[in-house]
Amino acid sequence: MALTFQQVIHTLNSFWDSHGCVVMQAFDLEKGASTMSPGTFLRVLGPEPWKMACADPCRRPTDGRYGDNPNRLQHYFQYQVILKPSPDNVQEIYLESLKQLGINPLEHDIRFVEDNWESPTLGAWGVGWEVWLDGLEISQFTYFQQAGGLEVRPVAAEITYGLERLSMYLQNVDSVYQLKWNDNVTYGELYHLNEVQQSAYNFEHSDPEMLQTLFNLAEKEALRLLNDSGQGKAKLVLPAYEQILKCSHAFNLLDARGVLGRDERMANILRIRKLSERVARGYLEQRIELGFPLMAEELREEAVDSYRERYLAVK
Amino acid sequence: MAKYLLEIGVEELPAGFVPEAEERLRGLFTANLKEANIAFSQLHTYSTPRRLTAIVEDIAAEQTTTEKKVKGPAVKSSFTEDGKPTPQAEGFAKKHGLSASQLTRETIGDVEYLHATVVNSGQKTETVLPEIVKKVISQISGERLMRWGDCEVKFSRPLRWIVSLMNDQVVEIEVANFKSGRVSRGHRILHPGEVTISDADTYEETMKKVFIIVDPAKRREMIKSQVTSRVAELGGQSPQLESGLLDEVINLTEWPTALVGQFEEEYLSLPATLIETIMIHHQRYFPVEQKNSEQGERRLLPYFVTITNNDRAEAAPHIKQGNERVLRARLADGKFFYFDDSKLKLEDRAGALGKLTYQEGLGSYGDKTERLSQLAQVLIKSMPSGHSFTEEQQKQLIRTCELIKLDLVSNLVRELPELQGYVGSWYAKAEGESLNVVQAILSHYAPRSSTDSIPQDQLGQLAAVLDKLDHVVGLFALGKKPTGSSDPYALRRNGQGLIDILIDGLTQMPLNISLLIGSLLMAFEPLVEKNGKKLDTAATAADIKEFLTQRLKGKLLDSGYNKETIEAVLNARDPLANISDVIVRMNTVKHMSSAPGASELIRVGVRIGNILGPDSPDVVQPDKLSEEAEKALWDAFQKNVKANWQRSGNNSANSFVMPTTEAEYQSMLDLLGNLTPHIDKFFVDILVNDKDIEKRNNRHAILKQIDQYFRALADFTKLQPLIS
Repeated sequence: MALTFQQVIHTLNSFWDSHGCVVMQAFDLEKGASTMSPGTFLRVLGPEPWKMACADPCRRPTDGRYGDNPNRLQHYFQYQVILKPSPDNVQEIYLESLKQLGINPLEHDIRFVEDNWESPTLGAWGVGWEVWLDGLEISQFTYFQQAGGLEVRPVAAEITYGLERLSMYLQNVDSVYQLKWNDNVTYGELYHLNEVQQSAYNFEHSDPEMLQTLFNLAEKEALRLLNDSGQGKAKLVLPAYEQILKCSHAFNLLDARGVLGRDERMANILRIRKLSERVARGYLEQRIELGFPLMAEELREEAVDSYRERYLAVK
Repeated sequence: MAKYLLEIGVEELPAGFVPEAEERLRGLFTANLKEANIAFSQLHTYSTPRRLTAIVEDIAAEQTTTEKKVKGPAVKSSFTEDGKPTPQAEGFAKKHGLSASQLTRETIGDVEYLHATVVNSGQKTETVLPEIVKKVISQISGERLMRWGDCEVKFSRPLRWIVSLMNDQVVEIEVANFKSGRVSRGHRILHPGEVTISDADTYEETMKKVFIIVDPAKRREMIKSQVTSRVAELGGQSPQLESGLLDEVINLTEWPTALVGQFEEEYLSLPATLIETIMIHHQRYFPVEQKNSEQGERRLLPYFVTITNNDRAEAAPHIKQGNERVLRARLADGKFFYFDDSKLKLEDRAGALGKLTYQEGLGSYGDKTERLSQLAQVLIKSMPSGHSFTEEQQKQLIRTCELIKLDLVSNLVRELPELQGYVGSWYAKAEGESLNVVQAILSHYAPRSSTDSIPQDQLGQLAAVLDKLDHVVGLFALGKKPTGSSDPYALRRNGQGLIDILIDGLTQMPLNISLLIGSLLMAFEPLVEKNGKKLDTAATAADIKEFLTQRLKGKLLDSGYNKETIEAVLNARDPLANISDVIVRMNTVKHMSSAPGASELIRVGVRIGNILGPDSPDVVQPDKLSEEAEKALWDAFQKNVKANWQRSGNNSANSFVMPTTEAEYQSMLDLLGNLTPHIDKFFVDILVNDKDIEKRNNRHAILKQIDQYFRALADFTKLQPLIS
C-alpha cells in the first residue's frame, strides 16, 4: 500500500527524528520557499550545529493555475531538512530516507543533476543538485555557501522534498488533486477550491494599490525595528524579519498581477535584500551575545571570541 | 617500471564541468610532474560524474638529479685578510648544505662571485607526490567553487575519497578530512559500497565489475550504439546524437543504458521543435525523428530514448513508466500553451509587448519594435540606386520588424524562453504571413549558440542587423558600453554577430551602418534625456563606430587579409558607411599588392600620402606652374588619368565619383600606374616644400588631386611595411 500524503510526512518526520533533527512545526507566515523560514535562513548562520526537519507550506502566487493544472499550485508543501555541518554521507542518508518511503533505489533510476540555487532577496546562494527519480525532479539538494550576505561556515546541507510530486509518484496518480491525504480525504478536497479562489485573487482581484501600500508599510516597519536600537534596547530582529517576509509576499502578489516593470522588480528585490542582510547580521550578533548555546561547551569560548572580534568589534 | 593511479572521488560533478575537469587534471598533473623532474612515459585520464582519474605510466622511482648554480656574495668581500671565509660566506655555503671550501668562483661582468652548486639529488617519487597531488587538486578549480561540512578545501563538489596507488602500494595523501588509500566506491545504486583496488593495472576492470565505465569515450560509444540501434528498431533516426546533448548525457551516468519510452500520438500535432525542446531541455531525452524527414518539415515518432544509470531488468518498467509520466505532463503543458496562445493573433499582442520592459531606460519591447520599423524605413531609403529594394522586399522587411518580438509575450515563450523566434514563426505561418517573413522571425536570433551559423535568409539577416544594431546603440546611448571583461549586456557578442552577418551574409549589399547609427541615436536621445541625462550624439556615434570597427578588423584578420591591407582600407574613409565596398577594396588591394610591379605603385602612393598634410590645398593654378617636371606631371595627370577616368564614364564634369566594382578600382589603379614615371621625376627634380608659399601650395595641390585617386581605394601610407 502506497503511503498517504500525511503518512509521507509522518515517515519523513520519524526518519529525520532518528537522525537527530529537531522536527519543527510549520512557520506561520507566507513565504515562497521553506528556506525563508527562520529555522533555515537564520539558523544556518554562525558556527552552531543545527539539524532541523519540517513540513512547511509555501506560496508562489504566479504559479496558480485555477486548479486546472494537475501539477502546479500556488500553495503547496515543502519538506525541509537542514543538516549543519553537512555530514560526509549526506547523499547516502538521503537515499535511505527514500527507502523508508518505499522507493527501493535498485528498482529506479536516481540521479543527482547539477542545479545551483540563488535567492536574490535573501542574499543567499549554494550549489547542489536536483534529484531525479525516473526522470521526475523530487528533491532539491543544496550546500549553503552564503545567507544574508554572510558566509555559511560550517556549510549546511539543505534537502527539500517536493511533497506533492513525491506522493503522486508513490500513489501512482496523474493529478495532485487525486492524492490521498489520508484514506478518506483527498488533497483535492482540501485544496482545490483554495487554488481556484486564490488564483482568481492573485491574478485578477487583488488590489495592487493596497499591496503596494502593504509593501511600503512592512518595509517601513522593518526599518524602524532595525534602526530602533538605542541604548539598552535589544534589536528586534525577529519581528523585523517577519515584516520582511510580509514585504516579500506583497511583492510576489504584485508580481502575479503583472504590474511590476523589470526595473521596479529589480529595485524591490534589492530593497528586500538589504533588509534581509541587516537581519542576518543582527541575528548573528545576538547569537554571539548569547554565547552560541548550541555549540559543545568546550568550543563555545573560542568561537565567541573569534566571532566577537569579527562581527562586534568594528562598531 | 611503475604505474601510478590517482582517483579523485567526488559527489556528482556538474555534467558540463566533467570534461573540463578531466582536461585540467591531465594538464596540471603533467606540468607538475615535469616541474618536479619526475619522468614518465604517458599520462592518461578518465572521468565520470563521481570520479576524476589519472594513470601515469612508467613513472620514475625518484626525481631526476639536477644541478643548479646559485650566485653568492662577491669574492672580494668573502674572505678575511688571512684568507679565511667571512661569516657571510660561511652562511651562504651552509644555506645550501655545503662547506665554504666547496664553493666555486665565477666572474659576472667584472666582479668575481662565490657560487654554490646545488645538487638536487632526487627524492623518492612517493615523497614528492602528495604535495603535487594536493596542488593539482587545488588548481583544478571550476566555475563555482564550494565548501562542505567543516572543510577548508574548495572544489566544484565535495571530495569524498582518494585512491592513490603506486603499482600495488598506497601512496598516502591527506586531502580535506580524509586520507588516500586503495578504497574506491562503486555505482551509487548497483554497488553502493566500497571497492578495493588491488593495483593500478587492474583499475579499469575492477571498476567495471562494480558497474563503473571510467572511460568517457567508452560511455560515448555505448550510448551512441545503443541509441542508434533502439532508434533503428523504431524505424527512426536521432540527429541529436551529434549534438551537445550527447556530451551532457555521457556525464550524467557511470553505467549508461538506453531505454525507450512512448508518448501519445496526439502530441505529434505540436511542432517538432516544441516537442524536442521539452524532451532535450528538461529531460535530456533523445527524440526519435522519422527517417527521411525533411529539414524544415521534420516529423517525430511518438517515442523517446532516455539514458538511465540502472540497467536492471526489474527496474526498467518503473523507469519507463516514471519518465513517460513526466514527459506526458510536460507535453500536456506545452500543448495547452501552444493552443491557448494561438487564440490570440500575434498582432493582438502588441499591447502586452508595450508593457514588457526591454531595457531600463530604453522603454518596452513595443517601443523597440516601433524603432525597428522606422529604422527599416531609413534603411530602405538609404539604398543607392541599382541596389534598391523591390516593393515586395520593402513590405516584407517592415512586416518582419512589426512581428519580430511579439512571441515574447506568449505563454509558451515565457515557459520555454529558448523557443523565442520559433513560436513567432509558427503563429505567423498559421496566420498566413509570407514565408520569407515567417523564416526571418525565426532566423533573426541566429546564431543561437557558438556552433550555430548566421541567418541563411536575406530578410532574416537584415532583421538581425537592425535588431543587434538597435541593442548596441541603445546601450551605448545609456553609457553602458562594455569595460574590461565585463559585458553584462552581451554587446560584444551582438557587435560580432552584426559584423559576421555583414561580412558573411550581406557582402553584396551596400549598407550604410553609420547612417543607421545616427538615426538610432536620434531616436534614443529623448529617452535618455527623459531620465535627466544628456546624450552627446557625436561622441557616442564615434564610440560605437570605433567599437564596431574593432570587430570588423578582427573579422577581416580572421578571413585572411593582412594587417596592413586592413588598416589601409579602413583608414581611407568610414568603413561602416558601406561595408560591401570595404570588401571590394580589400580584394583590390590584396590583388594589387601581389601583382608584378606593385611595389612601384605602393611606393609612390606612400610618398604622396606622407608629404601631404591636412592643410594641403587641392586647387591647382596651372599658369603658376614653372618647372618642367611639375608641368609634365600635371599634364600627364590631366590627360592620362582624369580624362580617361571621365571617359570611362566614372566622372561627372568636376566631382569625383567613386569606383564600385573591383574591375573599376583596378582600371583606376592602371591609370595611376602609368603616371608613376612622371611622379618619380617630379620628386627627383622638384622641391615640393618650396620657401615660396605659392609654389609650395601649387605643388601640394597637384599631389592632392592625384592622392584623391589613391585614397579612393586605400590610405597607401599604411601599406609601407609591405614594401620595406
